[in-house]
Amino acid sequence: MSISTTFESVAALVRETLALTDNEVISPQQLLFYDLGFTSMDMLDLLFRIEQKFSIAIPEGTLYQLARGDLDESRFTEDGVLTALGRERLMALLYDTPAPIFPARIHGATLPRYCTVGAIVRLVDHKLLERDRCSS
Amino acid sequence: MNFNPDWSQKDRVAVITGATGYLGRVLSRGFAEAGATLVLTSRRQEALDQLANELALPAERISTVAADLTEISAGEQIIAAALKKAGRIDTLVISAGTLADALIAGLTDEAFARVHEVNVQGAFRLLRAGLRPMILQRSGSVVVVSSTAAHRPNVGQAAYAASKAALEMIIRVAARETAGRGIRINGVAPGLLTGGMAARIIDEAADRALAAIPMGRLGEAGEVAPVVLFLASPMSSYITGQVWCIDGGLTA
Repeated sequence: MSISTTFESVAALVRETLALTDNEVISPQQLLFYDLGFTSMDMLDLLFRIEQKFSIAIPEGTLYQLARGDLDESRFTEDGVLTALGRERLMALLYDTPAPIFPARIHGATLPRYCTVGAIVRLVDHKLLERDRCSS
Repeated sequence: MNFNPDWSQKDRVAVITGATGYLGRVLSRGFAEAGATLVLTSRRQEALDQLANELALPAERISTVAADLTEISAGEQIIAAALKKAGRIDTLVISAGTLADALIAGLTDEAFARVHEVNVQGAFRLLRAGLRPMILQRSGSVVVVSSTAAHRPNVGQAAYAASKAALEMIIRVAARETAGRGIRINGVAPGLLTGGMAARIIDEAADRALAAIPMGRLGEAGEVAPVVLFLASPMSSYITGQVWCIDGGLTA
């Protein structure tokens, strides 16, 4: 599925999640929590819809794992809060989130709240690729 | 506002766990007679088959799933089977439970853990799995069977009472979390019923408990089922996060 096709599908699911009309413009740059007013339940709802629509699984902690990559857990977080290196990794992953959005202390359990719509689209494409690789 | 009492469960899908127990059987019959499509679960397939035969519903209105709630995947398995059968879940009744009565000084780790594994973890996993389709469909009602033991401590019931108290807090938290999604989560807390867990309470404790019931008698499953049906119906559309004691005044 191409990036733009994924975006259109994700945007439609964002509208469904927030019960918005089709006329509401959703753009890749919008931050789910800060621009669209997402709550934690909205995020869960959106992920459920994405999993159903694309037949992929996005388990709890997916974003955390993607940001951490091959970094040791102890170098990624300290007492649950991202280290400087962890922060760097997260900001590289969420490169389209404006830097001032990230607080001084980023708790590892809060990462989804810094996502743009575009970041979710990238996550979906990553999972689709992963799924296709497994099935081929 | 017009008020139209409507007990009908027609075109609604109800998943009932613990369906072959004393209360579960009456609940299953109640939902069946109200017109619901049933997905009944219990640990033993033979007991489910027998119950299904007794209910004698058309095949499209009933299915059974044998599952043990102590299995980690049981909740997902039950919900997946229900969705496969009916495509949606309108009501989830969590009625499965167990107890292990003993004085704390003699209560084993294993007995304590087993009661919590069924009554708390098992119920939690089932609730978690059931909420997913309800969130997506923006509607649903969950009714959890608790116990007055969660409200009124009984000697020898540390494991059971603690598990039901934990379950009631899960009900209240879940109700708050999902109210905005059109989902209502409530509980019923039966007191001592003639054929329920009371039958397993040692005689002396049962006598003491009976004396404490203002109505002076044990309850019947048929006195609990209407409340569950009410909480599952749109008639209770403004009720969520509540646990109703049905106990002959025991906790009054």
